[in-house]
Amino acid sequence: MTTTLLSKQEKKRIFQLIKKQWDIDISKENWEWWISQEDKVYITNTQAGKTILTEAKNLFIENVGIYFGFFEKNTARLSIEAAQLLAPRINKNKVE
Amino acid sequence: MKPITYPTPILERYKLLFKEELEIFLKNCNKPLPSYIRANTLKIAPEQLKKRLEAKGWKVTLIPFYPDAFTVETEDTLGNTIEHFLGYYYVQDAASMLPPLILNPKPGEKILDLCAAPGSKTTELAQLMNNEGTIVANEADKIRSKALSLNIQRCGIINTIITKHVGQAFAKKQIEFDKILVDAPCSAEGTVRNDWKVPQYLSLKTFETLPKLQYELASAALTCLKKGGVLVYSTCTFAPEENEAVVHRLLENNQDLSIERIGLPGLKTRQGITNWKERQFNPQVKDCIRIVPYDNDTEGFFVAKLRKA
Repeated sequence: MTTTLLSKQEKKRIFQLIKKQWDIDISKENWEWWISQEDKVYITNTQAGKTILTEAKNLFIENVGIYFGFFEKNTARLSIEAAQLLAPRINKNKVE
Repeated sequence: MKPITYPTPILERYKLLFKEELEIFLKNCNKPLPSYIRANTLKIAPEQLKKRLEAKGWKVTLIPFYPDAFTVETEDTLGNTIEHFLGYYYVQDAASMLPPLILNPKPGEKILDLCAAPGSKTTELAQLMNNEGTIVANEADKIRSKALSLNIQRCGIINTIITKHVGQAFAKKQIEFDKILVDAPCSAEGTVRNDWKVPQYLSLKTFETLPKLQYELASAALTCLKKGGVLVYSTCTFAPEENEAVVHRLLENNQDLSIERIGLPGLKTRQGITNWKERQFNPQVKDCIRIVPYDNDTEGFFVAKLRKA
C-alpha cells in the first residue's frame, strides 16, 4: 500500500464535508491524514505520522493507522471506527 | 473426552522438564482452556464492558493480574458478537497478555513489535500507550498481515504503522526504538489446551531449527534497541532450546545486555531453568519466567525481559 500525506486543500475539503454532514469541527484533532492509491483516507496520530515521514522511510509500509473514510465530491462515508471516534461530538444526522 | 496422545520423544522431554509434576501437567493439558477477553480501553471502560456482557447473561470474572481482562462463560461465540465487532474486546489468552504488560510501554514511546500478527499484543500495546507514541508492527507474511490490519482497524488503533519485512532485516534499517517486543514464532507447545493436536505436530527437529530463527530475530531487534531500552522476548512453548537457550546465547554475544526480574502481583510464575540435558545456561536466565498451564489456568508461556546498558 502506498499512502501519501493528504494535501492542505484536501484536508480542508474533508473537514468542511464533515462539518456540513455532522456539524462537528475536527480541524484541531491531533491526527495526521493520509490517502491511499484507492483514494481511501487513513489517520494516524501525529507522532506516528512523524515517524512515517522520517525514520520509517526505509521500511516497507503495508498500512498506517486506521481507515477513516471515503470522501467523494459532496459526500463523506466514514468507517465504523471513524464514526466511533466522532460519535460523542456529532450534533447532526446521529441515529443513536 | 479422549486424552491427548504424546509421541514418545516428546513425552520423554516432558518427563525431564516437569519431573515430579509430570502427572499434574498431563492431566491439566487435557482440561479445556477458559475463555479470556481483554477490554479495549480505547473504546470502553472495563466495568462498562462487564456490565454490558452481564446484561446479556454472560458470567464475567476479573482476572487477578490484569484489571482490563476477564474470564467469560457464555453460550455465545466470542468472535461473533456486536461488542466484538465494535472492537470493545479482544479474545486473547491471559498468558498471551503478559509480554506487553511486562514490556510496559508508555505513551509517547517508540515501540517495535517484530512478529506482530494477528495483533493481540500490538493492540494491547496500543491501549497501554493510550493510542499515543508510535508502534511499528512488523509482519513478514502477507496473509497474516491482513489479520493484523483488520484487528488494528477494529480496535481503533491510530499509533501503529504496519510494515512487511522478514524480522532479520531490521538489523539494517537504521531506526531506533525505546522498547521492543519479540514474540517469536515457536513450536507452540503451550497452546495444547486450545488445540489438543499440538503434540502430534511436534518433532525433535523443530527444537533444532526454530532456535536459530528465534535467535536471529531477537538479535536483529537488539541492533535497533536504544541504549537503556528494553526488549521482551517471549514464546508460547515449554522447550528450553527455544527459551532459555536463546536468551543465554543473546547474553553471551551482547555484553551490554542483562536480564531484569519480572513481577506481576496476582500471577504465579516459575523461574527460568539453568540447565537442560547436557547444557548449562547463564545463571541470569533464572530471572526469566515460565508460565505453566496449571498455575494460573492459562496456556503455557515463557517471557524474558532484557535491558541494553
